Amino acid sequence: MHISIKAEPLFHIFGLPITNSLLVTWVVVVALVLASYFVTRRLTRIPGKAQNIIETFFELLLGLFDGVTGDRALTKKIFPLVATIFISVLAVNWTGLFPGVGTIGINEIGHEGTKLVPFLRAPSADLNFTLGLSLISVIMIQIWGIGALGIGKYSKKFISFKNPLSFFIGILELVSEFSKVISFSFRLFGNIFAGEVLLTVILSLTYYIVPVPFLMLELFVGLIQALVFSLLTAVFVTLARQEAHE
Amino acid sequence: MEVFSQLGIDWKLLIAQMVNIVILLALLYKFLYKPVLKALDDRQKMVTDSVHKADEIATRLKVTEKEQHDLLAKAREQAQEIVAQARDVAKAQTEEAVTRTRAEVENVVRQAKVHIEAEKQKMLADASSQLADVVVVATKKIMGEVADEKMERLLAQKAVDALKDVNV
Repeated sequence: MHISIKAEPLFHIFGLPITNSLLVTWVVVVALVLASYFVTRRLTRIPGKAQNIIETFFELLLGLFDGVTGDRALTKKIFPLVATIFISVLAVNWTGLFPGVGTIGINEIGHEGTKLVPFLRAPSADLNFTLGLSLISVIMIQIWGIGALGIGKYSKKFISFKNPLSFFIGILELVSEFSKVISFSFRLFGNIFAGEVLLTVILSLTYYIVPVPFLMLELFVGLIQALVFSLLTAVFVTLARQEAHE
Repeated sequence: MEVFSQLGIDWKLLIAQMVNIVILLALLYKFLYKPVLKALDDRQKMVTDSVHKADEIATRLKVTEKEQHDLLAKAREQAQEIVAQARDVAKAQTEEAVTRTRAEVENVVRQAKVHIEAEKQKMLADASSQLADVVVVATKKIMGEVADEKMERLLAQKAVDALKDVNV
């Protein structure tokens, strides 16, 4: 049994290593876009089944983010980002649970013996995906914060010479912005990667019945992580738009 | 940095994943968020409009009902007024007709009385003149040639006067 913390490259195109997680990301992107296209192609005033489901889902998400932002206008503004985070994280988390993902591959003989290189790997079990998503999230938090307060007021949160205390707090705030990137990316990566490791271990012990509760647990973890990532982004955006405490 | 490559972080892959996410966001915005949010907004707007419209219709109905009611009340009042006026007019006319008739009748009666009185006077005058003649003739017959002309006249005159005193 070999567990790799890195996503394994399958081949290279123009120097870009095409890893198994990048491949799955593409598949997920295409699948999500196609699904949205077919669902929203014919929206009617009297909704059908698919439209009903998607509308209920939207109402649910809007209500969830309304609870965080407390403002429907702000919710609508950040909705594309936070909904994309929720949908994509949920989708990539659950791809790791498909049969064959992480298990079908080729055996590569390296220096440390043979290791399995799977063709498919959940993108959230790869730091490049989670770090990329965290960077986008934190960059957008800064942009929306500046958009609401203006660059002057916004930077006062981090750089303040009023008194030693506020100077110190400013530095802490600055550090916390960077730690957001790390906590976002490692939380998601850690949860999903750990889940994959857990499933691999369980599957190596026994094949039948026993892995089922763990699969259900991982379904739940995948949902929770998607919620956490998107809700925290909404929380941070809402906080970034509030003025510094004087 | 060593730690990054140990964790499998490769800036090329990182940028590739960020591009993937941005592309996904853009396409989902076009194919999912925009149409669905628009559909939700449209439906909400439609519902709000319908409720407003229903309220408006209810208010208008109430106003119309009130107007109708007022109109009916007014019409009834007017009708009663007209009937009352007609009754008054009829009464007045009847009274006038009665008064006029009575006056006419009285007039006729008065005229008739006057006429009768005149007739009576005339008859009396006639009668007295005839009586005088009768008295003269009777005196002549009774007295024969005893009385003269002058006495005759005196007697006649006396008889007429007596008659007049009795009669009048």
